[in-house]
Amino acid sequence: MLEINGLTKVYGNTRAVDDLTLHIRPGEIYGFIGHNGAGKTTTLKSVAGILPFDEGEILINGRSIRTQPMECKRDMAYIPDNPDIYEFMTGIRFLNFVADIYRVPADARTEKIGKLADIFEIKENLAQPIGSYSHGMKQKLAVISAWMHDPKLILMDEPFVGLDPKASHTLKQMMREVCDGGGAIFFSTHVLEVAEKLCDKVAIIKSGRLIRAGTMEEVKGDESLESVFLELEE
Amino acid sequence: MLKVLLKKQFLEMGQGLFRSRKTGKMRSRGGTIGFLILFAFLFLSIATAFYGYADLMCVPLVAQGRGWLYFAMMGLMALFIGVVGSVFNTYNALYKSKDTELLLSMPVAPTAIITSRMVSVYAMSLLFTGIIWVPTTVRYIVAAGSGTGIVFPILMLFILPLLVTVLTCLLGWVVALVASHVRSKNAATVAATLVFLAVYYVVYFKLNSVLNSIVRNSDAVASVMKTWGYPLYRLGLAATGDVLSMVMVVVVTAVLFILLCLIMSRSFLRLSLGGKQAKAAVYREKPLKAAGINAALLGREWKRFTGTSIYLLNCGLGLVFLIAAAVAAVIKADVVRMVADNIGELVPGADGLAPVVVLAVVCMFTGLDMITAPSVSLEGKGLWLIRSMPVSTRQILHAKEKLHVLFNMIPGTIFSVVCSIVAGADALSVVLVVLAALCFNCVIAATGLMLDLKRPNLNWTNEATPVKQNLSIFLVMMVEFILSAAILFGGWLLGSLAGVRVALLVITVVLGAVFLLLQRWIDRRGTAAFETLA
Repeated sequence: MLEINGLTKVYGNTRAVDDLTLHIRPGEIYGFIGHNGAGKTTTLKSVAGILPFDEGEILINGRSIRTQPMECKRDMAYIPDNPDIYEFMTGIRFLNFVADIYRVPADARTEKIGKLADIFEIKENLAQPIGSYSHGMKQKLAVISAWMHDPKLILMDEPFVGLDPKASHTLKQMMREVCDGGGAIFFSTHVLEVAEKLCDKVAIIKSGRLIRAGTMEEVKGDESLESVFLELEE
Repeated sequence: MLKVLLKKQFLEMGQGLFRSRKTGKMRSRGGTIGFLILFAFLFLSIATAFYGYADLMCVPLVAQGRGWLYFAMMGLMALFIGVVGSVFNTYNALYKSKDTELLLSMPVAPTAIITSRMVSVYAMSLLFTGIIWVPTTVRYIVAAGSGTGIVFPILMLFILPLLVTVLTCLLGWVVALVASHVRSKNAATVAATLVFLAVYYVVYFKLNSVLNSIVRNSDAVASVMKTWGYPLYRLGLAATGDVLSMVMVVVVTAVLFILLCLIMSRSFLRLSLGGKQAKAAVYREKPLKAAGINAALLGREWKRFTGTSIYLLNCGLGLVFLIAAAVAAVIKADVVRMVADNIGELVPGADGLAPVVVLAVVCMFTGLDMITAPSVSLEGKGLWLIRSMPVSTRQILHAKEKLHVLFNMIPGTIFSVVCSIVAGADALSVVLVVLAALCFNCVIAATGLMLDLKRPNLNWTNEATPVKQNLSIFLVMMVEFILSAAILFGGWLLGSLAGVRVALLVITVVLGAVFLLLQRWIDRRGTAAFETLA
């Protein structure tokens, strides 16, 4: 589903991501953990086709994000750590805009928006401007927009920040459903307990370099993910 | 405490001077000096224009022994400009600062917060009133001579902004009260601003004749002022050196200011933190309409433009001018026709060149719309969204240009056709004026986009930064004025040699060629520049 080979991104003299290689298969929830500034967001943005990178290759379903960005982007969705979405639109107009871009048929989008907005309990608010939304509501809207076109690969940067416990629980279920349907999820988190319970595989990044990756059992063994992470970070 | 807050306020105000808004880094000494020189140049240019207005009244009124009337009228003008200049920022400065909650969570009294913000409004008012009052004082000294009396107008320089502060804060308070009760704040802001601007332009265009009429009828104006405009009468007297009047002005201003502080302190928390809100709209599910990708992108630009009052008001006013000018051309058709018929007598060799003048006017007005100039910067922190979507950069950039062209095309065409017909142009000339105006429209759209692609500023927290403090907008305005003037003079030269149709045709072809060159840059280097933004 996603192949990251030798990804390197340089900012000035700093190698934000240094020769990172990671493969994610269909059906996998892949956690990405690391300290602040380790290179998680840079990696996710590079995969999403937002950030150009200096070396390496990123393939989504065998297609390069560098040479076939449109095809790759149609197959995936990205949710950033801070959902800065168009505050000048109402929630419903924003979702309709996203549906237009991903060419979701008119009847399907009405049904899907209604269903997802009900699940996340923001249906009544959809007529209001996004500028009036709380952080959590914006995050819910970003999640709904990401699920609109049934993406095969979903990239998420700290997706649980700002969500209430019920919405967090719902999102975890939805993530699992995507993977059960043959999709894949690649997300970063600082909440190690969530990663430990939710992820099939996990990668730990430090100063731009991948220091450990594999199945949860391979990475943590008999210890907790937190103790392994802290040990590796020292 | 107040001292610390004031320091923060002034740091914030001076940020643009000493720190680059684009990179966040401190400006170099050369950069800061350059910025100061540019600022001083702008201040002096505007002050010189007001010196001209002061000149109209000063000598005759001082000679009549009515220096007070001179100061009263110029004071009124300073108050008006001060209020117009500050009022749009006052509401945001007082109630919508991002640090309100942070400051309230600290051991800081709300009175101290509001006072520090009022001081920054005062500083802004000082700038706007000073731009009139300084030339007013200078002209008075030139006419009446210097002496100890000049202390009074100089003292007034600091009192007038206090009055402006009182008026703008009152207006800001009213705006906050209204804003907390209306659902569509954006529409309310746009409507209020348009009314305000209409009043402003009516006053501006009538100013010369009003000033001349005041000088001619100074006896009547003076007697009216002494009864109906008593505060202004005292203000004028105070500026000429009347001690009693100065004491009265100072006391009244101080009392008003203190009263305002008390009123605002009481309502500050409620107004700045939201308080009573208008009833929110509730979504009712209904079938959604699908659109193509290009239409969706154009819709996104349209919503951003119409949904952001500061963007609409600063970059879309040309539309209002175009419609007003088209209506005026119909109403004053006989005058337009007379000028067009006699244009050769006014300008040598300009016989039959009225369509060129119509074109220059339509270009000048459409050029006031600079929709593309801040459009890349306005993507701001939301840029990730469009960059993560399956749309090409060309599609994104073309949508920005399309909005500009479509927004101006309809009113521009209406004005071109109406005004050309009223001016007696033949059918071919009308068509050429429309085509040339369309090409000009495209050139301005592409120029604005190119400049913003070269100097984007994505790091802002308020839309005012990319819209009001954007060099691209200033440069597009310069291009627009230079190009309009070039069309006027070039059209006149060419037209006098080869006739109006040839002149219009050449202008259309040249503008079309310039647009194609700019578009080539946007499609190649512009797209590459956009793709490196993140």
